[in-house]
Amino acid sequence: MSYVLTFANTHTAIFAEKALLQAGYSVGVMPLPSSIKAGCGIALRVADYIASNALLKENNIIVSTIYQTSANSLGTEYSKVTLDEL
Amino acid sequence: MISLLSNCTSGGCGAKIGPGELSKVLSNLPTFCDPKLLVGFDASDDAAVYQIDADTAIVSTVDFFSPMVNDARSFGRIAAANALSDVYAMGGTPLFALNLVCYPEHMELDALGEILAGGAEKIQEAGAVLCGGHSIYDKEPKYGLAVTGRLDPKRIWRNNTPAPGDQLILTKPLGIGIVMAALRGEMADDQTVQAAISSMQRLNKYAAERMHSFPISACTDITGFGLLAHAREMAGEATSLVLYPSELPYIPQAYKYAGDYLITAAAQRNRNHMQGFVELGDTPFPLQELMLDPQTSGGLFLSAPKSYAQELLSAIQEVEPQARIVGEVLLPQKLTIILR
Amino acid sequence: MTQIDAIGQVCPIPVIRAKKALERMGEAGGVVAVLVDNDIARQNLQKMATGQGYQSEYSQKENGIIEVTIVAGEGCAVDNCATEADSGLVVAIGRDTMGEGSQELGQILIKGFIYALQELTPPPTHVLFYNSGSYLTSSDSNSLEDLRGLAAAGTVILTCGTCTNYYGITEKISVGEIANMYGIVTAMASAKRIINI
Repeated sequence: MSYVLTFANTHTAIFAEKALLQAGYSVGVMPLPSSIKAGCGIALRVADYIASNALLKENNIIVSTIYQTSANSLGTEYSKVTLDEL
Repeated sequence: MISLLSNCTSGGCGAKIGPGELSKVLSNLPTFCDPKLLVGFDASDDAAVYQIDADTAIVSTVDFFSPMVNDARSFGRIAAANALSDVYAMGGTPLFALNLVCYPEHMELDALGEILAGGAEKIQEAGAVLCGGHSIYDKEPKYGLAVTGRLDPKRIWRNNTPAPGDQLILTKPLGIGIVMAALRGEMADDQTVQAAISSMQRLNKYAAERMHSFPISACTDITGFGLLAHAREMAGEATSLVLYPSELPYIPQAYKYAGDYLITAAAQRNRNHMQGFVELGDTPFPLQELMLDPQTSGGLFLSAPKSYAQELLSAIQEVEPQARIVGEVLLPQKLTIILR
Repeated sequence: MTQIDAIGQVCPIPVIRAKKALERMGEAGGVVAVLVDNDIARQNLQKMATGQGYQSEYSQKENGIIEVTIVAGEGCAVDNCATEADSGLVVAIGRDTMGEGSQELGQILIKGFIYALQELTPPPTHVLFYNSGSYLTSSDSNSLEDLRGLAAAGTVILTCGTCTNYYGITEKISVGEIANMYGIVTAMASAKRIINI
């Protein structure tokens, strides 16, 4: 899984996880990494951010920011991803 | 040219059985008692000395080992020089020598011819005669000599009779074992290896000849047991020896190789053997290893009265330019060997 | 971890090989295990390790073989460093939620917690699941990937057999082992620290 979705509040994160699981996506729950700021301390890991984001939009669930993860010897780095529609 | 080293485990004096293990075994042998035996192996001396009459004693010694260098002729020279050395260290003159040979059945005989030629060169240089020998098949080549020499019984240079107040001289540079280890690890440069070979091939004859004009309290040659073990032997019960690590002569690159851990198993055995007799303290690690380094065909380590030491050193330096004063002799202290 | 077979090799070869392997590891460090057939070689290896600032230890194997393990830098392969860098931490998870209050919040929290657990270095020695916590190791759990990561790092994952039986999920346990109360008690009693969820 190489993308992280962040949310404005915990209710949104909970709804998002439920919606993605119900649609059959594999979702990982993780605490918000210390290098990123967001409203909610829970973030979700997904493989395909485009499809996940689209599904969440259909369910009126708003994603705050999408990050791409990359691992190197210093740890994991998170870089913002911009979508035209976001 | 075939590789002499391919069959060999640990050549040269690195192959000696450790001093501790050896003395355990020797202590179980019956003690021989003959008043004509002036020097036997109870004092772990360099050679045996047997009195014939008032003016003559025979010196007898034997030494052999497997190759530590690839060149057959160099190996022959080194093995012979090493065997002859013990006679010089007692103050004697070599008379004749017998070859001791082990050689693999499948190996080309040319190499054996070269080894024996090297040995013969050194025997001739020593002014002695080669009069036979014994050879057997063995999976590893080994070569050496049984040497017989003569000595004035009143002028034996024993190895454990230094006098407090004496100064200590070492005639050849240390580091032979380390350089050979670096060679085995394929990390030695040619020039350094040549320096080591040249030192090993050199007879102690010339230094000994210079020494005969001076009073000598004690003398030994440095072998596979390393400088510290021989210093301990020399100190005996009646003295302590001080050594100056910063004054020790050594093959320059050996210092760096020692720092890179290009060291021998024999040196570690020697280190274990010296526990309790010396405090290595904060002596730099490479110097520690040089003092424990097994030498093959090493130099003479001698004790002489202070008033003569400088003149004696100058005389020796004419033939051994790297000879140095490396320590002094004290009355017995808490430690047998003190490093300063 | 690099393994070097130096049996039959004469000093300085074992020391040179070990030293080169350690240098190749660079800043990240690592573990080198050397097999030798005599104690002098062992002594020389440890002498080199100490001189270079590494930790080392050795163990006697059969037939006079000695294994010398040298550890450089931070890069301890966890399965070899268990004895040296053992966290002694046991985590006991007695339910499938974290904290009290909202069920759905508690469920998402425990997943985040387990994710954070597998990021710990050194990892916990044991993670124990019982009562409704058993669901977290079953095939329905969303935390399986993280728990498998923990297991791969050497953490022992145990789920209470009585509980899986009660909930009828014994066959669905997909990570770690089923344990009885003795196993769980032993793990807790030998812990240096316990986290109880």
